[in-house]
Amino acid sequence: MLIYTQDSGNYSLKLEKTVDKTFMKYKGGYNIRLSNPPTGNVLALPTPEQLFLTRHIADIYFDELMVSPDEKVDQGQALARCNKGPLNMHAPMAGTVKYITDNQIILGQLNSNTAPTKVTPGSTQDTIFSSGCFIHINEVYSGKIPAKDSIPQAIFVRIANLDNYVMASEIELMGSLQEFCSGLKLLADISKDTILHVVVTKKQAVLAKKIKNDTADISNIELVTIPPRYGLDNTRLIADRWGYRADQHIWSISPQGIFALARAVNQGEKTTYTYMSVSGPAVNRPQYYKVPLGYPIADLLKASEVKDCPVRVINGGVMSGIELAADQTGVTGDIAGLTVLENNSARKLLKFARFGLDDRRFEDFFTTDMQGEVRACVSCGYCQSVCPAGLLPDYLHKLLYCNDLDRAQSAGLNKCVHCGLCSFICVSKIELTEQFIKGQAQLKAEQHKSSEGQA
Amino acid sequence: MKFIHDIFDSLRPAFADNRKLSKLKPLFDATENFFFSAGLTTSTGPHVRHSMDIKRFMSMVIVALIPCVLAGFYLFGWRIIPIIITSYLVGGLVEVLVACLRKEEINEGFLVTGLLFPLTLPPDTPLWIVAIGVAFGVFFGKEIFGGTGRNLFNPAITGRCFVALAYPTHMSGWIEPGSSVFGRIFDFWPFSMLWGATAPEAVTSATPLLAVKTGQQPEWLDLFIGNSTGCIGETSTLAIIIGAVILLAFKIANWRAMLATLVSFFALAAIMHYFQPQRFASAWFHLLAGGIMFGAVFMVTDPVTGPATNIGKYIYGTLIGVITILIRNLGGYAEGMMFAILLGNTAAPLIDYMVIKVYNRQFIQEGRT
Ligand code: SF4
Ligand code: SF4
Repeated sequence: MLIYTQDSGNYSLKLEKTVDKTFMKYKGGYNIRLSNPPTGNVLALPTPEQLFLTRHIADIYFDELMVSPDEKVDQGQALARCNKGPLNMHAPMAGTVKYITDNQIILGQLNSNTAPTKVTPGSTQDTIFSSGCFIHINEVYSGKIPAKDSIPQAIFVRIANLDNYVMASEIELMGSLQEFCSGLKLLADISKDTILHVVVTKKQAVLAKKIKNDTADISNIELVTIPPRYGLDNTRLIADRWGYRADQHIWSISPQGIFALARAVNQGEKTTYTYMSVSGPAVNRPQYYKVPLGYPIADLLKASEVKDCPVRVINGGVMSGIELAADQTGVTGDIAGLTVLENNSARKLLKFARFGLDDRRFEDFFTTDMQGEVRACVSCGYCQSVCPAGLLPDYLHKLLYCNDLDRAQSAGLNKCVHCGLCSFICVSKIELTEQFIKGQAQLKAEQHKSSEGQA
Repeated sequence: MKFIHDIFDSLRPAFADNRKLSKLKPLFDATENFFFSAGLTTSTGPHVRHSMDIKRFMSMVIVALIPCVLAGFYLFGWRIIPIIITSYLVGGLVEVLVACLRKEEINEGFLVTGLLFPLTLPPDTPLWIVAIGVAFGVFFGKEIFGGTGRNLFNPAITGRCFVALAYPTHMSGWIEPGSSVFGRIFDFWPFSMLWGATAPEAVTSATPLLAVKTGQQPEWLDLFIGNSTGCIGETSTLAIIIGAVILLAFKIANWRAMLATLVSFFALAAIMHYFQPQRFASAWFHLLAGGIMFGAVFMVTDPVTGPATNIGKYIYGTLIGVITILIRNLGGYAEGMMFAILLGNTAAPLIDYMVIKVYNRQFIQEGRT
């Protein structure tokens, strides 16, 4: 089902569509058509002028510099280090260090045709951390990069990635299924007690079957099927459903991470590039790219022909993504896609009285418009019908509104996974998700205080 | 379009703080936002929002009510129009006054209340009763709780209940629907009649629910299309069903409470009829006559005054359905929908409380395992 050919650096691929990125489906029976989802081939881009390498990734900060400005570096050479691990940050291409700031290391005079430095062979676990592959892995419950010597109880492989506009995992798998499965086997080797859950949607059954066949001899690989609804693909929800607890080491890894691992172990390659999409209503050429880490976002946007209007660039999908400053920023390992939206606040005449069913025509409204004014909750129940965690967002909102953290906690505040669906759907335009994120932080702070008090 | 924008731009300074008209700022804002969407952008994730906002949500209810209004117009003639206008004017006035006093936005909720309320009145209701009722309903049913979204009782039903209890003699102005193909569309009454004089066609105490208690059985088809005496919006089951389809198709109303009300009502009516067919009318009759359909479709589904939880909605609907048929069959009143809904409103927070208690227990247990 995954047929690909490689010619002159560009991958052209034919694939059976298993995740339809033209529709956004979520719980509650919504099925919204999207304009400009990423399509077509995976493009490799020309070598840029500069690479912007971020020194922050998840919870780590590469504080210890190993190079100085104007120093020449090889591809794969360590540039900086953090004391967690210790873990290294590698140069994705050979070049010269131009500037070093608190947040970034900027490389210039790049040369993509040099021999890379290889990974020193070691156990799979060591390779994950020495090759730089760890940027694709995080702990499900804490969101942190796992500690180097921690043995995970379970690993979730996120093939199903249903946030709209971000990359369809088939594109990642296009590398080759064989390579993917060899990566899976390596991962399964970390410990015989670690269970590998491969998360696929029901529609990806053919793919799932192939993976199952290829890994039939490994006993600790298990397939998990989820309905193709955004929100239900959240790893924390799946982990909860499988009975894991917040104090366990549960990893989540993207297909990219599996490939990176396979390449690191089999070919000694360091993790220097990533696959991502640039799409959204405000680009003329939605596209998949293969880019080195640190690739300037501005160049990517130019290549995708962003429309001539004020835009908002979002790291991730429109639901759970985070706004990104496009200038002077580079691609990081945790970007699966950039979504570009028109940053629109035009006032429309008699907007509420338009004709038609909204869900099908929603592409017309897909901008950063708030779509209405804030009002008191009318208990319409929309938010309940969409919440993938099965919470009662309107009830939580009322509790948090009167600062009743204890009752909010017992009503499941901590189970919110910030998917954003409740805020998206709210007719009263209440910032529910934001309120829950703040509430969770407050709860954590309070627990922290009380545990300190006991000690 | 541009010129409307310009009008607002030129008027805006007059409503600024410390100007004479600053007290009327909410009115200005509401009018402006009625014509032009607010034009705000999202500041935090999610970066897009669904295009259904509270204005559209409320407008949909009004759209769903249009078949009932048309049916009422056809059956009872033009005199329902002044009733609706009075209701909107007085209801809107109360809403605007309170919003200006409170310095809050004007809520869109009264647009629905202003139309729901007149539809629950007998067609020959004097206008001053309409005014008193809607003012009472909006003020005591909604504003004293803090406005739309915070009210405990359905404002339209609160007003209806008040006038029904306070002025019972003025609340029985039933009119026989017109017998020609044109209904009463071309009928004319003198204007003086709007203020209290009884319409020549007015019949007293002869709604189907009362008639059936004295042994008369109306035609099924008449009941279905609304060719019977009754409140303006309630008689035509057909129009109400069209409204229900609109509400459900646009996901405005939750089907759970609606279904629970009708099913429980119908089931209990059928059981009672089965055991004492002489004493109690059949379930089909009860379903088509009186306010049960209108109430179940437009009142029980009011999200604000019902329970917020889905399980709660089933309980709520069942409660209302059961109480309605009990009042109808065993109580002194011919119609029980109004009291049943008010009782349901009162019980809604309690129902929610219990459902959430059970629900929370689930979360806590999950947390332990
Ligand atoms: S409460 Fe809102 S943000 Fe949290 S999981 Fe539910 S829908 Fe998503
Ligand atoms: S969607 Fe918004 S208005 Fe509706 S119940 Fe939820 S919080 Fe309240």
